[in-house]
Amino acid sequence: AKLAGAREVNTGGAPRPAPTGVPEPSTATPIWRGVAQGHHAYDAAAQGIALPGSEFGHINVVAHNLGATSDTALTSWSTDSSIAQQFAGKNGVILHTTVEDLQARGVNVLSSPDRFHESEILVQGRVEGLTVLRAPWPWSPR
Amino acid sequence: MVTPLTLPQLPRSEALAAIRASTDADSSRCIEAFEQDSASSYPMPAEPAGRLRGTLELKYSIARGNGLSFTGDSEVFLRLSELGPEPVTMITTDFDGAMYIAFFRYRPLEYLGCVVMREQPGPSRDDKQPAP
Repeated sequence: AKLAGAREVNTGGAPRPAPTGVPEPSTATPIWRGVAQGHHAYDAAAQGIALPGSEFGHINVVAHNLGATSDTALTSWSTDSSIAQQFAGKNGVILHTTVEDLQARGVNVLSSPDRFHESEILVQGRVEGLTVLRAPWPWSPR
Repeated sequence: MVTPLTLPQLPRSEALAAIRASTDADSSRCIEAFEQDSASSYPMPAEPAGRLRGTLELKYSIARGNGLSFTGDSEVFLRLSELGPEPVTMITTDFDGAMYIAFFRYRPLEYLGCVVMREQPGPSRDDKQPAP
């Protein structure tokens, strides 16, 4: 069952960066998080929840960016939707929100060292009520 | 209020000793890189080897598409696959225009290999200039 507050969009056809049906102020910084099917956080993501490897783990941004994500309280996001699409893979989902929306909710948004050029943004803790995108992605050509 | 966990630290001397103890013929550049590092220790996350491989394959693939090149990754990925669920850790340093990532089995500390990541020739995303 879907959790209350989860928003799902699968309209298709809208140009990047703002998918159709996702209202955003023009000054907002949109971010995306791709979660592949089979990933430990996939079931949660499908319900609009960003789930870190360990909700009460460490918040070492260097270790997380290097790929050691099991014990962190962080989730990885990107300001580039094409990066999220690669992480989602063929059958995954993409979570969508804005930095400003998270900050307004009191969620800690951290800069990433981004050594691998993923346009990465890190978000601390479990976050609910996120927009869920599924393929075909709203920015994909029909 | 929950205080975030702090990662254990790996002293640089212990990391270097583990790299020097390896029979890996390609470890000399990695030793040189970590020898020059000013850090006295490194954060030491623990990650299941097989899971880390999956994550890194995707991250490195994206990085390659964004103008970075990698060496040593095939050998490291092979070792990570062999170790499966065993915890591993990694440390990094920047040396001679590249990032060196050394991988270790967690405890007892055993050097697994080193990945070297470089910007490919051409315009840099950050427009960084080499030091004079």
